Amino acid sequence: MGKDELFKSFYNPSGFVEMHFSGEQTPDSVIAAIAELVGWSKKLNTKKQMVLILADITGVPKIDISGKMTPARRAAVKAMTSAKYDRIAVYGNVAVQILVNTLVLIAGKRKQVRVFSDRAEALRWLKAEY
Amino acid sequence: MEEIFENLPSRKLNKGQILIYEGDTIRNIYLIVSGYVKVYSIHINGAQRTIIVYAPGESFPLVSFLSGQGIARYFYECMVDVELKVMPQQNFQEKIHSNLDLGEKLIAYSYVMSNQFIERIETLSAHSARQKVAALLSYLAAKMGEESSGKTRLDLPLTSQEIADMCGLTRETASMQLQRMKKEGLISGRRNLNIDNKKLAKIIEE
Repeated sequence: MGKDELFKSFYNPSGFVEMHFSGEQTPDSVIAAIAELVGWSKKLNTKKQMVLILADITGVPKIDISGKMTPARRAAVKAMTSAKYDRIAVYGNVAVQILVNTLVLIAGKRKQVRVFSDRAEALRWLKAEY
Repeated sequence: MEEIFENLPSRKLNKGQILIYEGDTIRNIYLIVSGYVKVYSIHINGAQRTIIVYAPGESFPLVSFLSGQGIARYFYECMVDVELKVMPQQNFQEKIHSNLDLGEKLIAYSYVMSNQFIERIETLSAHSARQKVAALLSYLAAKMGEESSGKTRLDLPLTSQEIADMCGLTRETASMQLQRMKKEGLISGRRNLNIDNKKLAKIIEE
């Protein structure tokens, strides 16, 4: 990831999209990342492929809980409820787990979005048989 | 936090009652109306290590619930007679659903509590016996103290064993430190301690 890049995504040949976040996120970076996620969802749906997303948030040192990030959190809830995807597995520290899980509860998507403390656990669930 | 539990009846529990055991599935979210609930783990040598204390108006085990762990990582026990409100986690989940404003408040609250856990765990592992007791008094003063003319009176009666458990010390070492602090005029009183804020701040800066 480049020095100034706050997130990066790519298609892992193992059959899922990887999104990596690094450094302190801004409302713009989160909203841009969500737009990219929605873009991946559309692209894979067009190809009739499963939409599996693995989001790595271990590189985010601090969670900003201020109102400045509310638009980003609102965008995340909206994307979780409106985008078409099969599963999203997120992994990161406890603060990240609390943040993402609360947004998942708001969106009512507990079956499709799960949060884990490490990559192996996240992958195990993401790639498990339905 | 109170607004979420509005209209729920409260329950009374006795001192010493354990509400949640380590490893229990999280089925309920609690709000304390009155009294105090301690959160502790059992150390490898079998001793209790109290990490934090929940006070009236506070809710638990939100950090474990919102982090999605699904199970409690600690014991939750009434330190005194406690009155609390209980909400099944399913109902709590329904309250959050589609409510970003409430979600934001819960994120902020859980973040603060999570940091309190981290700070207390750091205090338990990193300081001398004197520093541990001083850090605990500072934590308790901020959480449950009533301040008046430079002194803070703790609302909670504490035994030296409870102070020892909260500091990760033996009862003898905790008692020794408390005696020393009494001689220095830093604390006074028997079970409801009075703390001299200036003297305490000086030790913490040492």
